[in-house]
Amino acid sequence: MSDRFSFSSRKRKPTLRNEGQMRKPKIVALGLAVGLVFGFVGAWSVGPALSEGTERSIAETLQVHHKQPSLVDRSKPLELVYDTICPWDEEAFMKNVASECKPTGDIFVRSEGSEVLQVYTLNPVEGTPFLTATLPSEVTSHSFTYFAEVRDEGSGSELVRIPDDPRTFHRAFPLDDSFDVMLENPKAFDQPDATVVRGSWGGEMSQFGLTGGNESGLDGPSAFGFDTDGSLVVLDQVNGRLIDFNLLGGVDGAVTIDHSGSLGDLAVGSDGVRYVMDDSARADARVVALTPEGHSLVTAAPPALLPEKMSIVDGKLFILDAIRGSWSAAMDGGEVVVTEMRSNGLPLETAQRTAVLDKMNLSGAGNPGELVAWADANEAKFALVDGTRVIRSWRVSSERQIGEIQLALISDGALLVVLRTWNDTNSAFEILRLSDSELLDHRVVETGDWAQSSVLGRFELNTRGELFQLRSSPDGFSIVRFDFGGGK
Amino acid sequence: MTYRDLRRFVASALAGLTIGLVAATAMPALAHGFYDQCNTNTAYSLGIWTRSQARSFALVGRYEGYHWGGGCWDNDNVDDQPGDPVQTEGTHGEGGDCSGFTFKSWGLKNSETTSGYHYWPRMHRVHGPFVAAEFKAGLGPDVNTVAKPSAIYMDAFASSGHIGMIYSTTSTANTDNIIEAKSEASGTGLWSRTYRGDGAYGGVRRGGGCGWDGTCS
Repeated sequence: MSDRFSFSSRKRKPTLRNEGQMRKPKIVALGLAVGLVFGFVGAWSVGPALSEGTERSIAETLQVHHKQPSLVDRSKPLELVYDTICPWDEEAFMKNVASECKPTGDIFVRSEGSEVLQVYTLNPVEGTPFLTATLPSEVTSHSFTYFAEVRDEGSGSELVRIPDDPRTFHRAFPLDDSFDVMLENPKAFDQPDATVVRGSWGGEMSQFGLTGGNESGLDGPSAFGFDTDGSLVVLDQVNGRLIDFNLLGGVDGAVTIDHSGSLGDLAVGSDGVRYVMDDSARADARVVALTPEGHSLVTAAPPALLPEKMSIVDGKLFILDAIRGSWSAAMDGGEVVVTEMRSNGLPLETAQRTAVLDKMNLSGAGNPGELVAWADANEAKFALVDGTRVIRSWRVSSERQIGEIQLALISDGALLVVLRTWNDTNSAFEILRLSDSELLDHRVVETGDWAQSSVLGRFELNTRGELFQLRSSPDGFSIVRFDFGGGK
Repeated sequence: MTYRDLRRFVASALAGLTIGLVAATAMPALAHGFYDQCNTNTAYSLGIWTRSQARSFALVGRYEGYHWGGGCWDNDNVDDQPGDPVQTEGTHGEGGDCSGFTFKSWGLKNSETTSGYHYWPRMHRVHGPFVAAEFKAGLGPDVNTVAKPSAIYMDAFASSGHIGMIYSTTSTANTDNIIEAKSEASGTGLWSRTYRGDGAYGGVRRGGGCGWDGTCS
């Protein structure tokens, strides 16, 4: 009040007021201009330096990657390999200072039923970033758990535990009497039983988004799932939407979603909750739980270093981590689950356990709790596990290279597997239905992977035992169906 | 100038300074582009460059941006210039594109015909002479094709429109962890991919060089 009163009293001086009113805008404008110039110049010259000074990087810590063997040959020595990635020190490199990063470590192994931890030293492989240790045949004669500790002897500052969650261990199960299948070089493709969705590329309602080009590859729709009535839902992330189809394959509508446009994944629960993964590196990877109407229930970071696939078991969302090689529970009906379980096996649905017990003559063998799947270029292995025991197992080898396991689950009391086989000239997906002692069905189908999709999201099975495949070509996008009989 | 005028001048100058600082910090892309923070200093000739060094170097680019035709990035784990128009080089955003990211990570020489290796610091603005299709074809004296089953960490898989390098192989589903500059929406990062078994992709290997395959004469 006093200032206002004082100002008001000054205005009574007409001469000063007139001079002040004329000069004040000039002074203010001059001051603003000077300030703006210094502000811009200061920010542009000092800004980058400040940015350099406060930068941080994920690359500042030692990383250790390990492909857990999961399913091993019983009573045979087993080599475990740990891949170490040292942080990059550009300043030291520019000064021609040798890296001080020299990882060493140990593996701690506990055999089934034992309380004793046996320690094996990890030895560096000359000229490589790998540390290895060979476990003797006594260890692989039973199932065992293990973890490793790797430290950077050079700096002495790093201690990395693998797996990184101190509550968990890697697990390995020996196989003996597995049912084995050898795949021959395929001669022709089997055709699908129906094409249920088809559309050209574009942004209209009946079209599907395609993005990319030279120097980025092509991305089409990431993934698909089934709504509660069995109708299809497609994650068309390029157009930022979920497209709903009716049971006849016509477009029923679309829900706009907040998505970066990067590849992602989709899983739909039996309660209708839709889980959408956005895997952009520009923003933090996230999973959003949505109602069918598109309302966000919850958003959470996936419990994975490198999320690879989402799957729902008994209403609970699980995420497969490509780096850890394990499944973790993430959400349940739109609620975030505090993750405690990290397993190399995916739990079986309750209905599947019952069907397996009925159809696989498992009386007395155990209670199948989870399905463990593992593959390298030479062999894919699958096992039904009850705690620490393998109660049924399968091995699939091929005359060609084995690629990724797109799908592995128990359906109608049988193992359903979709995996890629390939050679220098072509690639195919092979669909196998296996009982405990018989190859029930085998089809070889086109990959249809002209555009990128979710890495393991190309196949889904519905509750009626129909298998669907996401396909893309220069002409457009489609979803095709293969009928096998039986239910999920 | 009276004392009162001086106060007005200082106050308005401070306001201008604040506006200038905020505007220049928040909108560098509009006026300059991320490129202006980068440099084109003389490249460093590379003696030893191992796959491990290349991988560690590449990891710095994770979470940074993608820019078509680009070739420099910082390491703050943020795309400092997101949302650039796709397939457009002129907005000078952060990050390499897929071939530029591979070129710098491999420490290749900026020449299609002359053999040799150079170290390009992350803030050095260079894309290199090769696009993905040329990598796939093994074009240039220090780029070779390799059978895909033999491809190991820091070899690459290239198609006619994209290239990504093998970071590690850990997936029990038998995919590869690929480090790549993917797209404007995705940025540069690490993802599980199936390029190895994809018929559109071929294997590519950096031509030896001291240390790359464990040997130095």
